[in-house]
Amino acid sequence: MKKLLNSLKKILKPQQVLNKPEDLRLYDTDATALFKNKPRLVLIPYDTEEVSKIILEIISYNKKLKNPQEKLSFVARGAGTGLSGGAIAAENSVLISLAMLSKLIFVDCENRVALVESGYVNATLNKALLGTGLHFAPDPSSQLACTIGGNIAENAGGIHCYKYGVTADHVLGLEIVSPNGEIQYVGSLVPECTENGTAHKHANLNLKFKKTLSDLDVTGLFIGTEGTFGIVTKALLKLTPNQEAFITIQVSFSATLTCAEVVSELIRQGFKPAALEIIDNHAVRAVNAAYNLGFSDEVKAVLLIELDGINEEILKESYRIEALVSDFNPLSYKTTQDVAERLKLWKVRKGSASAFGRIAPFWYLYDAVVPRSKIPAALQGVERIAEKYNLMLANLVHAGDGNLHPNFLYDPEKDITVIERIFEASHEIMRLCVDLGGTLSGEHGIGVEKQEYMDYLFSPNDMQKMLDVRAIFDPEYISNPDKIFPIKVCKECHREVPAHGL
Amino acid sequence: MFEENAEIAMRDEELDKIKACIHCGICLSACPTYLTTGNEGNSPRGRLYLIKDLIQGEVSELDATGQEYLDNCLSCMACETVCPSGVEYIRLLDYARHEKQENGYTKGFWGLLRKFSFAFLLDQRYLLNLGRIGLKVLNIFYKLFPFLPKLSKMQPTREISYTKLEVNKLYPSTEKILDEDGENAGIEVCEQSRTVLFNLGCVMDTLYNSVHHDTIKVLNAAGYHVYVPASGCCGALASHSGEFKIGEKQTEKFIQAQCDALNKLYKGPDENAEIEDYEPFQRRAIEDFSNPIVFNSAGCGAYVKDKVYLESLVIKDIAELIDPDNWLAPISLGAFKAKLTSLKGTDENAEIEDCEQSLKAVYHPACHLYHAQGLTTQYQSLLALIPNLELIPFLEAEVCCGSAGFYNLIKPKLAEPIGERKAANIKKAGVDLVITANPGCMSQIEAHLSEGYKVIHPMSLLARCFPEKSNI
Ligand SMILES: Cc1cc2nc3c(=O)[nH]c(=O)nc-3n(C[C@H](O)[C@H](O)[C@H](O)COP(=O)(O)OP(=O)(O)OC[C@H]3O[C@@H](n4cnc5c(N)ncnc54)[C@H](O)[C@@H]3O)c2cc1C
Ligand code: SF4
Ligand code: SF4
Repeated sequence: MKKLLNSLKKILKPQQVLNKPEDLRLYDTDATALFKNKPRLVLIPYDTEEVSKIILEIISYNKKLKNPQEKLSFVARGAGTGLSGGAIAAENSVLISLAMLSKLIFVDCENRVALVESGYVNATLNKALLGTGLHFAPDPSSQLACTIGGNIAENAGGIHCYKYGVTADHVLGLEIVSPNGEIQYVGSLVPECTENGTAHKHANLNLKFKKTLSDLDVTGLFIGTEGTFGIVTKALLKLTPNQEAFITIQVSFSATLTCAEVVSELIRQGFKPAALEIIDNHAVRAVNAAYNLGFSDEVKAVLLIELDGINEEILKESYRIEALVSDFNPLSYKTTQDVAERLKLWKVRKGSASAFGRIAPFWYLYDAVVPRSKIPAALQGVERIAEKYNLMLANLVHAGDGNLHPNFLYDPEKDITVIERIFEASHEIMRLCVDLGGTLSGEHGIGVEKQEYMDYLFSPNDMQKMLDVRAIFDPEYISNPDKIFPIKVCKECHREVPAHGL
Repeated sequence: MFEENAEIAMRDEELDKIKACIHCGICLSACPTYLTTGNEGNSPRGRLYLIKDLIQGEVSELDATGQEYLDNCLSCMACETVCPSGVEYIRLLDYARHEKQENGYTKGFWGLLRKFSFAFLLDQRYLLNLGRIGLKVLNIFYKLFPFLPKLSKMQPTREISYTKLEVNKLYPSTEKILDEDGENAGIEVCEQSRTVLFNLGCVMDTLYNSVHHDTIKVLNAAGYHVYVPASGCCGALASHSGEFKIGEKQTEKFIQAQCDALNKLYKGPDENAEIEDYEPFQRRAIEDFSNPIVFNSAGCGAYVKDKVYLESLVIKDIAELIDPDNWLAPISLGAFKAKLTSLKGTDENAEIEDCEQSLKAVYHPACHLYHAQGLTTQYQSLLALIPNLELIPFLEAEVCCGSAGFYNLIKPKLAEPIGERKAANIKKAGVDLVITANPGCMSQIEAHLSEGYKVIHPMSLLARCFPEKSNI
C-alpha cells in the first residue's frame, strides 16, 4: 500500500489523496446508511487523465503482488446519494470520487446537446440551461446533488420519466476510462469533441441519422451497469425543449387504494400525463410538517398529475381528468398553471423522502416495480406486509411506470429488532412484486442491497450471460466488484469474497 | 441573556437533532467547501457524520483530520436552507466546537494573536482607526513600490476614505420647508418619524465608512431618525471564529450600549444637549418603545438576532425597515423615492458614471442575509426601485464567497478557490458591477475580481443612483 501511495502522490496533489482513518470513515457509506464498509484509500482526481493514471497505478500495483488475495479493486463515487449501496467500497477497494470532474464543457443549442464531465450535478445543468429553452429531462428527486455519472450508472429516472424516459434515453455518447486504464469513446462522442468548447463542431453529431444505427449500441449497454464496466468521465447529453404550457393537478383522498384506482383508470383511458405520482399516509404527514401544506388529518393519499404540451389541448385534457376524478370522491382538488405554485408542488414531492427525518431518524427506501395495472394490488400487499412486521410505512409511487417506493421509517435505538424486520419485510415485498409480474429495481439499482434477490428473477444461466458481458469490459474483475450479482455467484465465478458488514 | 451552561443541557437535545440527518446528501452541492475540494469531510453531511460520532460518544474527541474538517466550515448556513429534513446544522456545529474550546482556530501563536485582536482591536475605536491608517500607509507604500509582493491577497487596495461619524448623536430625518412662493425656507425635523439605533460596528466602519454615511442618508430619507450609540463590535466575528467567550463578553457590552442609548432617548436629554433640540422625536419615542436596532452588515444582524433574547430589543436588517413589499417606514414609499432623488452618495469608490443610463449588475446575497436571516427577496425588491438598474441572474448566486468573518484570513488556502469561483461566476454574467450588503463579502469579492469591476453596497447605490432626471 505504501508503494501505491508513493506513486500516487507523484501524480496527485496531497489534498487529492485521503488515507487518514477519519477520511475513510467518512466514505464508508452512501445515502443507504444501512450498509457500511471503509475503502482502503480515497482519491479525488481532477480530470480524465488523472482517473486513467490512477487505474494504471492500481493495475501495476496488483501485478507486483505476491498474494493475489490482496488484489486491489476500485469503486467510482459521484455524490454518494445512491440508495442501493453501489458506491460503497468492497473489501480492498480504492474509492475514486468524481466530485471534481464538475465542468460543463459546452452547450450546443442548435443540436440540442451538452457535454459535461461526469461529476457535474444534475440540477446545476438545468440552472445553466435557464434561458435556452432547453432542459435535461431525467429529474431524480435527488437532482440537487446527484451527479450525471451516478445517473448514468444507475440509469436514474424521475418524476417526468413516464413521458420522457429514463437517463438511457437522454445520453448520446460517453467518454469512459476502462478498467484497464484506457480512455475510450462510445456512441456519438469522439475525442475531437472534448478538446475545447469550439471543437465540438467536428463532433460526430449525425444525430439525424442516429435513428438508423449501424453500430452496436455500446452506450446503451454501458448505462445502468453501476460502475462495473468502468468509469464514466464525460457524457454527451441530449437536451429536451421546454414545453409551451403545463398544468399541475393535486388531488387528495381518504384512502390510498382509491388513489391507486384513479391511476389505473387514468391509464386505462389512455391519458399520458408528464408525471403521475402518489404520496401516501406517513409521507403526507412528513411533507405536511416540512412544508406547512395544511392537509387535514383525514388525508391519507395525495395524487400529483402534471400535463404538459400545447395550452388548449392540456386544458381540455384537464377537464376530462377532473370529471374522471370526481367519481372517486376526492377530499380536495387543486390545479395550477402558475410557475411558483408548480415549483412548490414539486418541491414537496422531491423533498418528501428527505422530509422523513422529521418523523424518524432513519428511513429505508425500497425500490420495486410492478406492471401499472397491478399498482392497487401491490399497495394493498405492501400495507399487509408492513402491518405483519409492525413497521411504519410511507409510500411514494411513480405511478406512471409502476415504480413503488415503500419507505420504512424507524429508530433502531427505540426498537432493537426493527432492522431485521425490515429486511424480512423487504424480502416479502420483493417476492410480491415479482409474483405480480414486476422486477427488482425501478431506478435505484441493485448495488449490494438487492444482489441476493437476483435469483428471484434470473436463472443461473441468465446471470452467467451477464457476467460474460461484464468480463469483456472488466476481465480482471476490479471495477466495483461484488455488486449486482449474488455474492455466491460472484464467488463461483471469481474468488472468495467476504459479505458486506452491516 | 445567554443560555447558561448550554453545553451540558443541550446534549440530549442535540442527540435528537443530529438524528434528523438521514445522510441523503442533498446538501452537498450547496456547500462551498465541498464544491471546491470535492472532499466529503468538507461537506455538511460529512461534518454531521463526525459530529454524530462525537455526540453519540463513539469517539471522545476528533483526531486532527476530523477537527480540521469542522474548522474548515464557513458557517454559511447554505446547507440549512436546502436540507429537506430541517437539520439544525449550525447549532450542532457550535455544540461540537464548544465541546472543544482548544480547536484549530485558537491554537498556537496565531491563535494568541487572534485572541488579542478579537478581544481588544475590534472593541476599541481608536485601535481600529490606527489599523485603518496603517492600511493607508501600506497602500501608499505599495503604490510607490508596486513590484513588492503583497502581504495577503485580502489586503485592500482601494482608497480608504474616512469621515468620522459621531457616537451618542442623533442624525435626524428632516424635511425642506417651502414658503408661500415655493421657495426654500430652511429645513425642519420630520414630525412623524421613528428613531432607530444604528451601530458603527467594526469592519464596515473601518473599511467602508462611506457606506455608513449612505445608510444614514437612506434611513433619514425613509423618515427614520438615526441614533448612533457608543458601542464596539457586536461579538459576531469572535464567535463565528470559535472564540465564544470573547464574543459573548462583547455581545454583553454591545447590548448594554443599546440599553444605555435607549435610556438616554427615554429619560430625557440631561446628558446630551443635542437631543433636547428635537422635541418631536422625543415625544414619539416615549409612545413607541420598540426602536429597532438596525444593521447594514449581514453578519452582525444575523448574529445579534440569534443571540439576543431581550424582548424589548427589536433587531432588523436595514432591508427589513425599507422593504417595498412590506413597507414599514414612517413616510410613504412614494415620498421615500422622491427624497432619494435629492441624495448625493458618499462612497467615492462607487463612482458610477452612467448612473443615468442603464446599469447592469449582479446581486450577491450575503449568506448571513439569505441563509441566516432568510432575507431572500427584500434586497432585490429594494434594488428594483432604482429606475435604470437591471439585475442579471448568475450561477451559484447563493453560494458563499469565502469571506465568512475572518475565514479568508485564517483559511486562505480554502477561501481562495471559493472566492475565485464566485468571481468566475460573476464574470460569466457579463457585468462589471456587483452589489452586496456585507463588508466581508465586499472585500472578498473585490479581492478576487480584476480591475474594472466595482463592488458596492446597496445603500450606496440607493444614495447615489437615483438620478433626478429619471422619471420615477
Ligand atoms: C432523497 C433521495 C431521492 C432519490 N430519488 C431518486 C429518484 O427519484 N430516481 C432515481 O433514479 N434515483 C433516486 N435516488 C437515488 C440516487 O440519487 C440516484 O441513484 C443517483 O443517480 C445517484 O447518483 P450519485 O452521483 O449520487 O451516485 P453515487 O451514489 O455516488 O453512485 C451510484 C453508483 O454509480 C456508480 N458511479 C457513480 N459515478 C460514476 C461514474 N462517473 N462512472 C461510473 N460509475 C459511477 C457508483 O459506483 C455507484 O455504483 C434518490 C436518492 C435520495 C437520497
Ligand atoms: S444535512 Fe440534511 S440534506 Fe444534508 S445529508 Fe443530512 S438530511 Fe440530507
Ligand atoms: S455552513 Fe456552509 S460551509 Fe459549513 S457545512 Fe454548511 S454549507 Fe458547508
